[in-house]
Amino acid sequence: MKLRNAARLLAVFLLTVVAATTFYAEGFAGAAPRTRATIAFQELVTSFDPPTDWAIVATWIHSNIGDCLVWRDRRTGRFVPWLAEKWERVNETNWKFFLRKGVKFHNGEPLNAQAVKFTIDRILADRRILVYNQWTFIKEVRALDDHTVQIETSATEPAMLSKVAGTGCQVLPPRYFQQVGPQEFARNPIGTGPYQFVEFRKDDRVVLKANPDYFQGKPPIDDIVIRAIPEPSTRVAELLRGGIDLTVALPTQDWQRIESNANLKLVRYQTTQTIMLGLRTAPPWVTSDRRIREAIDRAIDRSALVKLAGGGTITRTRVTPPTLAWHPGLYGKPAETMYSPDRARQLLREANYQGQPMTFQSTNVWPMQKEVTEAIAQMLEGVGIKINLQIMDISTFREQVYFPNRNRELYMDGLGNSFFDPWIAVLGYSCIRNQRTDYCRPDLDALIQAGAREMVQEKRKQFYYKIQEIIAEDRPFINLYHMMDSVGTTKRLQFDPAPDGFVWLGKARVQ
Amino acid sequence: MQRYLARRVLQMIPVLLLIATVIFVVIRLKGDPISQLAPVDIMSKEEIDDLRRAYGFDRPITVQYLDFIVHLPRGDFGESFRYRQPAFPLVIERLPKTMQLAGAAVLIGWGLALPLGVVAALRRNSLTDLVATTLSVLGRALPNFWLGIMLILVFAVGLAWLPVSGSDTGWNLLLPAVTLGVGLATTLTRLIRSSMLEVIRQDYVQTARSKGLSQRTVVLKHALRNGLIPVFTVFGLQVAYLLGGVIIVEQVFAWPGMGQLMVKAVLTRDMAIVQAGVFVFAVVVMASNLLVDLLYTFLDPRIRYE
Repeated sequence: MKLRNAARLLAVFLLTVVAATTFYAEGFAGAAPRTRATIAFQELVTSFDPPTDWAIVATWIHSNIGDCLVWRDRRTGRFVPWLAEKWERVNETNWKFFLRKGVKFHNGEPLNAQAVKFTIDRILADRRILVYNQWTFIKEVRALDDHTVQIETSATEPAMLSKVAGTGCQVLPPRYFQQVGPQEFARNPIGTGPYQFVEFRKDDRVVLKANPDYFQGKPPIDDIVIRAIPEPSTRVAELLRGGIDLTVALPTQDWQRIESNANLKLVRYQTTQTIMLGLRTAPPWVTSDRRIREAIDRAIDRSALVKLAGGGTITRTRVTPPTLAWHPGLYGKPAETMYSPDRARQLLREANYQGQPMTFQSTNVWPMQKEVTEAIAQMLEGVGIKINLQIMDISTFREQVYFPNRNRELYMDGLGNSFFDPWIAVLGYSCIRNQRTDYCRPDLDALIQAGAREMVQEKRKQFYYKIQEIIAEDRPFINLYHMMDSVGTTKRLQFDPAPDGFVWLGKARVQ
Repeated sequence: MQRYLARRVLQMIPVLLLIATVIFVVIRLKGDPISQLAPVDIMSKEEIDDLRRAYGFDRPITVQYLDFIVHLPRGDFGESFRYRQPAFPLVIERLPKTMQLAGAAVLIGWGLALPLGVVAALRRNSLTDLVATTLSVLGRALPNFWLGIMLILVFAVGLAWLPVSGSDTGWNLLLPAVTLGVGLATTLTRLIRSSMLEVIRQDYVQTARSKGLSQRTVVLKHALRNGLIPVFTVFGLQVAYLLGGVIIVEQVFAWPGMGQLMVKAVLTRDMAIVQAGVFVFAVVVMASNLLVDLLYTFLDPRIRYE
């Protein structure tokens, strides 16, 4: 009898726990009358306070709730008026931004110059804010009147517009922010953006509703549900089932499945990411010999890698279109990719390479990266280079190789450029940031500094062309290909993904 | 019984302290957490050092450890640097979802294992036994991850009977719970079978049979009760396995419990969350084992805790 009682008790307890926490939801309800789109990302935000979360998905979500002064057109790389309807450079270090009138935050608070000043001052006052360093180019922000704000930079700043459109640029409502404090704001954000925050269930979903007073007009979709689905195959399954209308970062092996489904479409886009190799350029590393670095470059068939990765554009530069000053002689030229195994073998002989093993460290974070790494290792072995291949997960790679600068002869990297300006793409070539390559050329440093200060665009381009040519010749980095990625959507959703994959839903529609 | 309970609870304290210390050390052995935090390709060494100071990672490891231990009794595991919020509440608020999934998996696991194990033992070497044993071996060989994806493809995408992922409705619970429950059932089925095989050969079972009692009464009232004691012992240990499975299954089904939080925290070296999460898991496992020990008294009246 006791056994039966115990079993009954246990079963009743478990059933109660499960049932009580389960069958509560609205899930059995009928169809909602409002238009709604559900999208899925790998993760959601950790905070709705824009400058405190720099993950790419977070910046997409922030951009749907808040607006910046200017907007980067991701197809042309040009800047278009957004909260600032126009701007002018007053002198070498001062810029005026003229704000759009009549714009209100979701709580009715007016957008004005004080709000812009508050947003930037607040970042500059807290070193713990992750994007703090991206904003230190600003010396002072002054509200000249209600709708004019003057930003003074510490030095001439040709990338001004790129930087004020960078991570954490969404203008905050000062009254609300001060009233509730940063922690509450991070949970219940207010912005001027196309969508208003409704609900956040951590690791589950963010619910947004259309802002009827949006300065560009009410968005066509009434409700947006953004779900977190970390597993790529589950995201694909949801898309196939029709549970979501859009998802990103689809596994290459699922592209065909999505393309062949009558209700779905796969949109492949060129990311801002360049896949490259980083090389040690100083003794005692065997790659300190320029001829060996060139041999490595010539041994790699970039076209084969692009094919293996499922698409992309071969490149010998990290400054890729539409970024200012991308080098037409180094980007997208299959005939000039240096591929020549015979020349590679000859260079190795000239350098008296004796088969010393080279450690090649890589990770598996980008599409087909493991396969691409293995292919490169085979190509290098093919010309007689002995490779010790180490493929590790991204956290281990960052902690044990990348960040402590413990990389050896070769490592694979993938770097993006969400600023669409070359200043950030060439930063890693300077002597003070050479911990992973040992590469240092004072004349190159001078060019990097000149490029970062030159206000005449044509002159500036020339500095960056020269920098790219030097890097392609010296090879502290061997750029391989400009990576592609994909977005899967249902056909009922009318959404044209930006070339860099940025998900802004202000103009998206559902049929 | 009360003295026994008090003693067991007190015994948990040094174990938990040891677990907390191991977590603290292991996480730091893995490397520098700032590497996960910082946009490293555009930061100089000085800028990274500044950030390290701001988060207190520049302090000697002993100071960091003492700080950690002193705050532990208050449930203060520090601030998550991804969320910039105290870690413990972040973990605790996800616990109900994880317990809901684990509870459902336990029900499914026992629901499958009990009849299968008993029938396989009673009809030893029959086709039923063969099927039950084969299923249990097969189930054991299937990784949770793969089984979960297969269930999604068949029942959610192919047949469209159940939702793919999420936690909106009760139906969302079914596939992840089955994924986890099958793993548990496979272990329990084999144990119940072998334990029952041993018990049904005992004299008291033969006596019960010779008294003319029905098969049902013999099995349910006499054999099963004793046969379950070793099974419960293993079940207590399986709770840790189950929680390990929860972490994977939550990822596959986008179930917003502790598992998802922990995976992200481990990948990003969000130390405070990992510390709080492992600590909570440890408490759950120890509490489950205690519960199982107490359950013995119901199964066997001869067992007394003084």
